[in-house]
Amino acid sequence: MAVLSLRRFFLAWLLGLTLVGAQVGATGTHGLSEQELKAAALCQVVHFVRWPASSFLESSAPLVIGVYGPDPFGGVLDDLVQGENVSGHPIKLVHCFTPEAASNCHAVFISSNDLRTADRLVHELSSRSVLTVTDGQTVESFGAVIAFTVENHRIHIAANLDAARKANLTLSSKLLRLAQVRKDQP
Amino acid sequence: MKRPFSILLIGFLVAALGAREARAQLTVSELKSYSLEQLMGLEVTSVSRKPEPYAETAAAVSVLTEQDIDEAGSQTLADALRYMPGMEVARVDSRTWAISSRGFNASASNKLLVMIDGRTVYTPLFSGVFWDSQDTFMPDVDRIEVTRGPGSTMWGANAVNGVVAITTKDSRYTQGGLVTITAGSDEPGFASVRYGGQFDSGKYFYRVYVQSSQRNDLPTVTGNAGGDGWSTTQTGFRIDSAMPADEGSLSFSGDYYNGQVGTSPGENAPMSGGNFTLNASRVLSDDLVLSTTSYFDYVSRSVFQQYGETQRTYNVDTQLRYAGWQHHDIIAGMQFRNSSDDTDAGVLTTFSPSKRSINEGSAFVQDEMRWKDGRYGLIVGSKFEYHQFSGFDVEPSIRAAYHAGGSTLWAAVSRAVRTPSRFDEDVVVGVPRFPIIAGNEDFKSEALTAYELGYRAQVTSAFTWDTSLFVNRYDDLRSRERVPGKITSMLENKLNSRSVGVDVTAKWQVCSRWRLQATYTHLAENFSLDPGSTDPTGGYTEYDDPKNMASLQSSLQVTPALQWSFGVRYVSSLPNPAQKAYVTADMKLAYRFRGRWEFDLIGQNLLQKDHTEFGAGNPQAREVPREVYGSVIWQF
Repeated sequence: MAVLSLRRFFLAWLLGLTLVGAQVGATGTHGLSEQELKAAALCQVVHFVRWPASSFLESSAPLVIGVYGPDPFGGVLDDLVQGENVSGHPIKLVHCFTPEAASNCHAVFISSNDLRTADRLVHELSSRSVLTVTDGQTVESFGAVIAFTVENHRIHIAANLDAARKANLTLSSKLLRLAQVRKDQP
Repeated sequence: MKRPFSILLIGFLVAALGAREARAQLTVSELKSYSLEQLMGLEVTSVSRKPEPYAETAAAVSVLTEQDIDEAGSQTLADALRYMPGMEVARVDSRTWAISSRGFNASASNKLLVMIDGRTVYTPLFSGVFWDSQDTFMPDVDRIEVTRGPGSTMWGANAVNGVVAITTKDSRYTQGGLVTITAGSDEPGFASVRYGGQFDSGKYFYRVYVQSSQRNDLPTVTGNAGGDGWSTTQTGFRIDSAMPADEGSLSFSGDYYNGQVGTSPGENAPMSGGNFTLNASRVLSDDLVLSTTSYFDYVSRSVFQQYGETQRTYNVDTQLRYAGWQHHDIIAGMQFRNSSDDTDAGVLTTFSPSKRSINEGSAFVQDEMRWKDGRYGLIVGSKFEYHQFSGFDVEPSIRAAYHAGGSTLWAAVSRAVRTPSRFDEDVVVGVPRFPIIAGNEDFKSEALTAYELGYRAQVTSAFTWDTSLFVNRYDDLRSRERVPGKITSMLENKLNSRSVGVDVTAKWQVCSRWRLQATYTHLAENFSLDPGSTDPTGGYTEYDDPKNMASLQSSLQVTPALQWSFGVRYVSSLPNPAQKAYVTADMKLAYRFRGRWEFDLIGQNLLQKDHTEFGAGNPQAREVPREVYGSVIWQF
């Protein structure tokens, strides 16, 4: 059995570390984070969606954006929606904890922490006029209307036309040009 | 000779990391000004996908998220810990697990601090954990944080080799109903129901749950029935205030369990217990937060042929956090605990005195300092403890960290103690007048001085690397000193140890649907006895650890409705009681259907019909069989 050599052990570890450390990518702890980018994208996407007339009680009724589950944005979304409005509807941000509460929103952002709950929520909302936006790792996740993913450090937006149709929502052609358009699996 | 070389390497590493540029943060108004098209052209320059507080921690921390726990198909907390780096998990029998971190594993392993929502769950009787009574409703576990190494400055005595902190979800995130029913090939099954709602017009969220589980005996290596099966029913609740986070938080929970534990073929013994736990915090100002954890815990159980106990623990813990002084984040706290027990004599083991009330108290202070825009960090702190058995102990620690380019290099020196348990002080094994093992009222606290080094890096956007190295020097470890001329061995503190180890974790997001994780742990232990020691065992009753452990886990989203995960794990041989190395695998297939339904197929210990994990040389050792379970989950 080899005699334990503390020094050799430590040096081997340190050498391995240096080799790994030299590969570390040029990313800083400042600059634009994924959460900030997705929050900004969410605020912009709602401008490209048309809800049925029945979704708003009056022309100045608030457009309610709900965040379902633990808030992944850390306050950034709250700052971004301050004073913003979509076609005269002021944006109101709420946190939802049940599918019933989410169905009272115009748009719901579902963070994919708990896939089981996210899946259920998208199913429950699929025939309501709610813009479901997910943050999934898989672009076709759950049949939500919009999905944000980050690939190669850039945000990608996927739009599911079948889901939009089921929800009675119209996605503007400008959005469809920018996004990757998907349809439900047969 | 070698020192200048290592300094050169460290210097190179720091320079390589430091060379990464820091970019200025975008302001909110800048972000607002971008159109969707412009946003899609921006580059994400910060690495955190979700806020990752652990990425910068100056300690060897690994976290199991709710998703990790769900994908692994873990039915118990013990199972959930198997794939964590540095954690030794060995199933001793149907209801006993030997779990430790960085060595010193034994069926009564005593150097790991385990907490659920701030409530300590080890028994003061022998400083170990009865894993069969620490069940919790697994789908409502938010995360399990495993810290390898001492955590005594924050958590106090007994956080010697590691800390396992289990946090359950706030009840606002567990609204509605969830029913799970599981049946297995070797274990009859588990069933659980949870319902969450609100009251007082949304001012409070709550949940309640009931779960029931039943497990069969595990056969012994000689083929006999082990007589160690068990069944329990557990129920609990949690209430959370909906007050905004900038005001504070309030959470009140309680659990109660009742069950039967097999003690020998055909014989059962009852076990029951419960707790009430209160966690509250108040934001006093922008810089000042006051928080408190209070709990009452009750346990009643008997240990096979050994002893019966009833234990009551009252604990109050208060902390004040002040972050108003630039570059500093200061936490100070005080804690008081009373544990009282009433033991019954067993066939072999008694405690003398049979009833005892133990008081402990502690105070701690810690300052976390950050400079140069968060690049350099230093954490200095100490806990000051008083324990009725051992008097005063000091547990200081100092941690330094350097953060740059999405990676962290850290180093720490800390001291931790394990205060004497009732076993150490008062146990009488054998005939009371001529015992084989006797406790010692002068038993001292065991002490550890740990030197740690670690490195954590986001090497590319898809690959993370986390490694830590430690040297642990233990003093005053428990030894069994033969009293001259008698058959008695007295428990004293004449054992010492030096152990060295390393652990590595690599995570790779292969593509958007597929994730891989690999871990490797190495441990080298050395034991010696003080001169004059008459301990014939050489300390082998205190530890039984593998030199190497490795695991590989894969998680793949096959289709949006189908998730497939599997893991392979290897544990090398154990010295005493001897146990050979084994490799085995676990798997889970989860299929979601129509939003509310889920069907799972879970396999554990798949590579062999059965294998032992602890003490194969002992004729009483149990075989852990290959198991296949099916689960149905329904949300309403």
